[in-house]
Amino acid sequence: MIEVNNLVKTFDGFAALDGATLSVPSGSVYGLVGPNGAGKSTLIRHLTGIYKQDAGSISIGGQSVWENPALKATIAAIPDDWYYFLQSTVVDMMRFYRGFYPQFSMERYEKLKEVFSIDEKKTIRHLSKGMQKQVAFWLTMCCMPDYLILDEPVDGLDPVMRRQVWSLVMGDVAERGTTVLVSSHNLRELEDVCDHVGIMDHGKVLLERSLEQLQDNMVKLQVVFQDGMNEVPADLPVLHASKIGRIHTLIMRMNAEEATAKVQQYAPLLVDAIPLTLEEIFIYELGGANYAVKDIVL
Amino acid sequence: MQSKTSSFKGGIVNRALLRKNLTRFWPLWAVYAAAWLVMLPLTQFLMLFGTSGHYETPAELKADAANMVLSMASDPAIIMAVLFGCLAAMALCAYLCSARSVGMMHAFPIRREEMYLTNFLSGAVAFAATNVVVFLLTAAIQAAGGVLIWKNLLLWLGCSLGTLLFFYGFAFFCAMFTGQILAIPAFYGILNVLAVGLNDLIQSFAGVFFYGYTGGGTPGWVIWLTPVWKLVNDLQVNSTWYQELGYSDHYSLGNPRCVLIYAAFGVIWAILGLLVYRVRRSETASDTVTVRWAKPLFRYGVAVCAALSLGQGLYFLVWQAFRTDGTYSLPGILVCMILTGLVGYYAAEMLLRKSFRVFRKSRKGAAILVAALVLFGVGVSLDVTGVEHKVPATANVESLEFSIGGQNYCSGEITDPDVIESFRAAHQAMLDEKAENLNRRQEDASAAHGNSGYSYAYVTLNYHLKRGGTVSRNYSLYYTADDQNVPGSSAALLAELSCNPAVQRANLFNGKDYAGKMTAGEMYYQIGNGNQDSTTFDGETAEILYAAILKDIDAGHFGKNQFKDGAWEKETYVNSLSLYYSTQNDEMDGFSVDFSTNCTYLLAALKETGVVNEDHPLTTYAENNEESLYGEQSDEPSTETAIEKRQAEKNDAVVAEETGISTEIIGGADGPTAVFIA
Repeated sequence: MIEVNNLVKTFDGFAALDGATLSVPSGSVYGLVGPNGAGKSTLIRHLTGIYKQDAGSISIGGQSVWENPALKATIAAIPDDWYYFLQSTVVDMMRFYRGFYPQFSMERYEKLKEVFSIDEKKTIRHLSKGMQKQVAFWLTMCCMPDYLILDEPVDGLDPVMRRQVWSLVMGDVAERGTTVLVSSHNLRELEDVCDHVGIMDHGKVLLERSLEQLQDNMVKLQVVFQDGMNEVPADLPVLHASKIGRIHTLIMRMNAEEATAKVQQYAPLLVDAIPLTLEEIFIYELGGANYAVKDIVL
Repeated sequence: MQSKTSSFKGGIVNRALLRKNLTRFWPLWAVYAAAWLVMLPLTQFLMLFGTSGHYETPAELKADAANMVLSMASDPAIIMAVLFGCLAAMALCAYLCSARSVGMMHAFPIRREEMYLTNFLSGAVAFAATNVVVFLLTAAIQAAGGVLIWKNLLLWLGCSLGTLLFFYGFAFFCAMFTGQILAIPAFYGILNVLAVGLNDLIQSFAGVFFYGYTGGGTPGWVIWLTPVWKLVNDLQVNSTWYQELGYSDHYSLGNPRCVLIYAAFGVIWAILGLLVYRVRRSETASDTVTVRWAKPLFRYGVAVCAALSLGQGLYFLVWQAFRTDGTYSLPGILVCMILTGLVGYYAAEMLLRKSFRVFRKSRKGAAILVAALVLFGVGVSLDVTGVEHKVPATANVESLEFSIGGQNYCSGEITDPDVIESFRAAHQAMLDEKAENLNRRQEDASAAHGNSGYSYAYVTLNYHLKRGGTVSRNYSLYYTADDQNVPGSSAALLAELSCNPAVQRANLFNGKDYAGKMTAGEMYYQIGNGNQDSTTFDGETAEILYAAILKDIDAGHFGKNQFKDGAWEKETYVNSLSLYYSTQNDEMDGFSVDFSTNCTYLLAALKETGVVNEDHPLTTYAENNEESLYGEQSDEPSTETAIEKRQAEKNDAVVAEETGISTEIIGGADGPTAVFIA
C-alpha cells in the first residue's frame, strides 16, 4: 500500500505540492490525473525517492521510501523522460539495471525480447522515441517490481504496443499482485485499466475514489421538460447544464437515482441517466476548481 | 506473488556503478595512463636503451635517470593531478547536472553514501591502478638498465597519488556545490587560488589608502591555502654538483611530506563533499549553486571580489588619472567599488536565478552590499587597525630587506638589531613627514619641466618577522640638500644609513666575506667618445683592492654621496671595478663595485697596484660629460675604430647571458648591475 499524507514541496517559494494526500491500495492500479502543473510528476519523484519532501510523509508498504534501498529495490519507475547513457545499448542498460535490482529477471528479459523486437545491441539513442519507451518498459518489467510507478507510460507508443504494454502490466498485477500508480492524460485509456483514480490540482489531491465510486458520485441526465419550461429550475443542484433543442444535459454530483428523483419533481417529459466517462468526470470536477474549457473568441 | 524487501543487500560500493564508471569514461583513464606512460616508462626506456645518450659513465646515467623520476614527482605530477582530478570529478558527477540523469540515479535502490563512494572510488581506482602500472613498468625498465632506485620511484608514486588525491577530492567537493558541469572547473579553479587572490587584492586595496603600504608579501598560511603554489615550491628537485664528476647527483625532493598533509586534506574534502551531497536536493540539477547556505556566500563573494578587483581597476583607470599628489579619493574609490560590486552582485544573482530579471527582487541584498562596502571603505580609510603607522619592534624582526634609491642604488638584507633600529627610526621619520612629503610631491608634479627644486629618492623596507610574515613599505621621498642637515629628518637618517658599514657590506657583498678567495680583477676606464676599455689584474692585486674596499666601507666612504644631488656627478667615477673569486664548487663568480672620490683607501690601492695610471685613468661622471660634450663639438674624425671593435667584442663576451658561466646581480652607482662571467 502506498500512503501519502499532507505532502508539501516548494521550489523557490512555489508550492508544487501543497498538502497532497492519497492512498493506493495494494494490488490496485491507481490512475493519477490532473491538469498540467498539478504536481503529478513531483509526487511521483517523491514516491521513487528522488525528491525529499519539505513536510508530510510517504509510506510504501509501511516503510519510508527516502534513502531506503531495500524498499526501493521493490519499486520500479518509468519517468516521462526516461534516461539512458548516451553510448549505451539495451544490453548495457540491462546490465546496469541488473546491478541495482536484486530481483532482476533475466528469464523475463529473454521473454520480453520477443515482445519488443528491438535489437538489443543497438545504441538506444539511435532508436525512435517510441522504441526507447519500449526499452524502458522492457527493463523496468524485468526488475520484477512490487510497486510500479509510471509517468505518462504509453506516450509515444503505437496503439498495438500500448495494448501490449498494458497487457504486461495487468498481467503482473494479476499474477504478482503488483501495485501500480500511473499518471497519464489519456483518460480513456486509464478508464480501461485503473480501478482507483485520484485527481490532482494545484499540488493537492482533490478527490480519490475507486472508478466505480467516482462514476456513482456524478451523473449525467438528459431531460426534456414540459412545454413552457425552457430553463433548468434554479433549485436543482446542477454542476453543469447545456441544451440542444429541447434536450437539457445536466451534470449533477449525486448518484443516478437521487438525481432522477430530484428532476422528477418537475414532471419532465423525459429523464435519462447516463454514466460519465472518466474524461467527463475530470472536466467537471476540475470545472468546479476553476479549471474548465474557456469560451474564448479569437 | 510479491517478493520480500529483505532480500536486498546494501553495500559500500555498488559494483554495477563502479564497472559502468570505469567503462563509460575509459577515454579519460586512457589519456591519463598514456600521459604517464610516455612521461615515465617510455622516456626512461629511450634514455636507457636509445642511441641518443650522451653519458660518459653508468653513474652519470643513473643520476640522470634518478633526476628524471624525481622531476616527474614535481611539476608534472602536480599538473596531472590538477587537470585530471578536475576532469574525473566532472565526469563522475555529471549525472548531478541533469534532471533526467539525477532522476534515474537517485531512483535506484542505493543510498546516497554508497553512490558517492562508488563514484569517488571509480576515479581513485582508475588513477591508482594506472600509477601502479606505470610504477612497475618503470621499475622493470630501470632494473633492466641497471639504474633502479626504489626510493625515487616510491617517492614518485607517493607524490603523484598524494597530489592527485588532494585535487581529486577537492574537485569532488566543488562538484557537490553546483549543478552545472562547467561551473565545476570554474569553482575548482577559483577556489584553488582564492586565498592568494584575496590576499593580493586586499593588500593592493589597502595600498590605495595607507601611505607607503605595499602589503606584507604572502603569508605562509595563504601559500598553504594555495596548494598548487605550495606544492610547486615544496616539490622542487634538489641536487649536488660534483665538479670532479662534471655532473649533479644525489637528487632529492624538497619537502615531500607536504604531499602527505595535502593527501589527508584530499580525504577530508571528499568526506565534506559527501556531507554536502547528503543535503543536496535532486531538484537542484542545473542550478549554479545547489546548496542553500552556499548561495549567499556565492552572491556576496562574487560581489566582494568584483568590488576589490574591478573596483580598484576602474579607480586607477579613471579616477586616479586625475590625481598627482599621491593621495586617494575616498568617494572615488567608493563609487568604483560600489559600481563594480553591484555588477558582481547582480551577475551572481542572474546565475543563481537563471534569469536576467533580478533587479527588483534583489534590491534588498544590493542595499546591504552597498552599505557593507561603504562601511568597509570608510573603516579602512580611517585606518582603525593602525596599519599605516605600524613600525615593527626590532625585537620582533628576524631580518630587514632594504633598498634605497637615491643618487646611488643600495640594497641588501640585514639582521643586526642596531642597524634595524636605525632603519626603524628612518621609517618613523618618513611617517612623521607624510604631509610635507605629499605636498612636495604635488609641487613636483605640477612644476614646469619638473623643476620643483626637490630631489627624488625611494625607500623600500621589508621587515621579515620572527613569528612569520612580512611587513612591507615603500616610500617616495622628495628632499632638498638642506634636509640632510636637519637632525632626525628622514633624509639625514637615510644618508647616515647609506654609509653605514653593515648596510654597505650587505649592499656590496650580501654580507659575505671574500677575503682570500680572489682570483682576478678587471678595471674599466674611458677611452674617449663614450667608449670603454678594461685592464685585468691577478688575484693578489684583487685581494689588495678588496681589503681597501673593506677599509673604505668601515670608514663610511661608500654611500657617502647617496643624497648629495649636486656632488654626485663630480665625485662618482664612471670606472667600474670588478673582482672575481672562486666559489665552493670551484666556479668563478664576481662582483662589481662603483666608487667615488670619497673612497680614499681604494683610490690609494688602485694607484699603488698600478691598476690606475696615466693609460688607465679614473674619470668622474662630470669629467666624462665634459669630454662627451667636447667630443661632440670636435671635428676630428674618430681614429679609434680598432679599439672600438675590440671593445665591442669584449662587450659581446661580457653581456651575453647565455654564454656566461655565472650571473650575479650586485649594487652599482646607477642601479643594480648584472655581471655575466664569460
